[in-house]
Amino acid sequence: MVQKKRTSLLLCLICAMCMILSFTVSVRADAQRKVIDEAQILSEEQEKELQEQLSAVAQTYQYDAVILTVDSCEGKSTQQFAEDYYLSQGYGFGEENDGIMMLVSMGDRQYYFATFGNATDIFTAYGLERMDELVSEKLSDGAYGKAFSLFADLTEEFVKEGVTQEPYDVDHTYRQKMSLGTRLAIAAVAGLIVAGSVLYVLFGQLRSVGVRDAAQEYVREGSFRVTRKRDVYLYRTVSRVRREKPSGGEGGGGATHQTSSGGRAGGRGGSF
Amino acid sequence: MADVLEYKCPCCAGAITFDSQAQKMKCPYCDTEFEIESLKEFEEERMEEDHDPQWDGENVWQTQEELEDEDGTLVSYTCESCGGEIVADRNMAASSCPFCANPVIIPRKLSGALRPDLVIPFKLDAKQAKEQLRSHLKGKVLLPSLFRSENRLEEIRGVYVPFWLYDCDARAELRCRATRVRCWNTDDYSYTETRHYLVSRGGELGFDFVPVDGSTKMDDALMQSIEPFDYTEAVDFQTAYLAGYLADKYDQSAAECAPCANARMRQSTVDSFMRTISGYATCIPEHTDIRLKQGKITYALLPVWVLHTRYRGKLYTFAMNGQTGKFVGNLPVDKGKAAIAAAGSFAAAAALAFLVTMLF
Repeated sequence: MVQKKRTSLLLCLICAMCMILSFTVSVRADAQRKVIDEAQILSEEQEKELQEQLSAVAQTYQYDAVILTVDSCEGKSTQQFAEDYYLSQGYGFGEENDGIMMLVSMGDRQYYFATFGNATDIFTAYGLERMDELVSEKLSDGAYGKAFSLFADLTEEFVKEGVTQEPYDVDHTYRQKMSLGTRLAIAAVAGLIVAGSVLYVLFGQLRSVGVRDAAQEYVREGSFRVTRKRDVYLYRTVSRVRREKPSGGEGGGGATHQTSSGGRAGGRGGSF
Repeated sequence: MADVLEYKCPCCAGAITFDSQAQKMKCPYCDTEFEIESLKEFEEERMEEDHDPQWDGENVWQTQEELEDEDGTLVSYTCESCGGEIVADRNMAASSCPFCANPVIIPRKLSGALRPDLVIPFKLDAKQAKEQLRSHLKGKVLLPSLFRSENRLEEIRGVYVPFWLYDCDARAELRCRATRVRCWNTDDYSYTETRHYLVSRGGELGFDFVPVDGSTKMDDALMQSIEPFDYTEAVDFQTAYLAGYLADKYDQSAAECAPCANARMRQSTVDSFMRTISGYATCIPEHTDIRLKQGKITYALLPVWVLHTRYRGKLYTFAMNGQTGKFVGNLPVDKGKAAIAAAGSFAAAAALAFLVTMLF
């Protein structure tokens, strides 16, 4: 009997230990997971790639970057849902939970970029607008994988620029990197032009026989006389094109509000 | 009663009727407004007709006398292969045709050759021609390396080539449509104003000694490429100048060769007058009337060194101006070298351009 009691006590202990252990592990594991694809719109491979890229950003710059896809926001606004989720899962670095989260809610086709703490300085209103513009285009096309990898790339570039130089803003605009295809096309065209010119010159060296179509060297000296010279104005035409008004004149920076935990948060969203 | 004049719209060619009540010229089709004076001048200009230049016929400067074999020293050869006929003095042993390098040429009695008015004597000799050939091959990147060492000089001949030299006075009337463009911006619009002008020029231009070779055996492009000759050194023809050289007989008359000279003079006339028009964004000739008034035509023998080299069974012909030393002749291309040059420059430029795109 005593033997049995002992064994059950031991079992209970082990079980309790296991539970405690598994709980802590699961919390840490959640904070490590940068891609939470509850709506199941990404392939495993895409998920893995994004996970690696975003983990690297977090490690290098101490800014969390998280992607969350859900089927619905459970009645909350995308902003509220994103902020609650981010803070409740313990994402972010430092006191203010520095980081950014991209939320896509498939049920109502809404997305939201939520920024926290110092990330609100890095992703200014201008920065979020650019991000919104570029990423929402991909979302509307249904290219979710591309949209998220663009989000990851942009986040990395924005954070890097914000940490090492100054954040992208109206007076320090972000220009999208040329795609590899464009670069190769430019290189190929430049190569063709130069190779063409080089061959033109080199082939020209070998050709010294050609027909002359003018006789300028046989013009009798002093024989050129212009006896009539008339320039008559006939009429005029005027065309006009409406000028593109440069958009802008905004102050830069961005509006932030306080989260429940007291940190700053900002963001921008829309539907696709 | 308003007097009604009908004009053609310079812009759309529609009929404009002048309404003296409104005191304004406005095309009813394209709504363009005009000054009355402009339309009158435009109409005047339009009335003029085109003239094509024409030579009245063959009219050689000096009396057309036959080249006489005064002391029996001249002999004529005919090439069995290309039909070329050349004149040489009897001491000059012509062994092959200077045009096609064919060795079968047959001596004949000289007859029917026109006595040239002028001759420019040879100033450069065969040795200098060979030197010029060597320097002609220098610095040519795509020339096959073996061409320099393997090419065999088959024939080098000093030939007096028959040329017709045309003197001519040109009267030109040019009419162009020209535009001036002005751009400006307001807050809402970018404006582009195009002012249309009718620009006309008239005048004269003279040409002396425009040469056209009168031999079908001599490639016209080859002969044009060794131009120009310095006619101040031309002298009256004497058979003595032929000693040691060959002379080709013309087989195209002055009238047959005239279109070539006309075309060149016409082009130069147009060019000269077009250069007097400036200050416009575009200028497109609408009507060019060049009247060529024929002057004298001179028959001249001009000195040309003709060189034939053979490389891998193919014959290459070069010509050197026997007076100025200008050397011409097309050369073969080493396809392998060309491919390397193309690939190399492509790769270098593409790599550089790619690096430059990294900056953006």
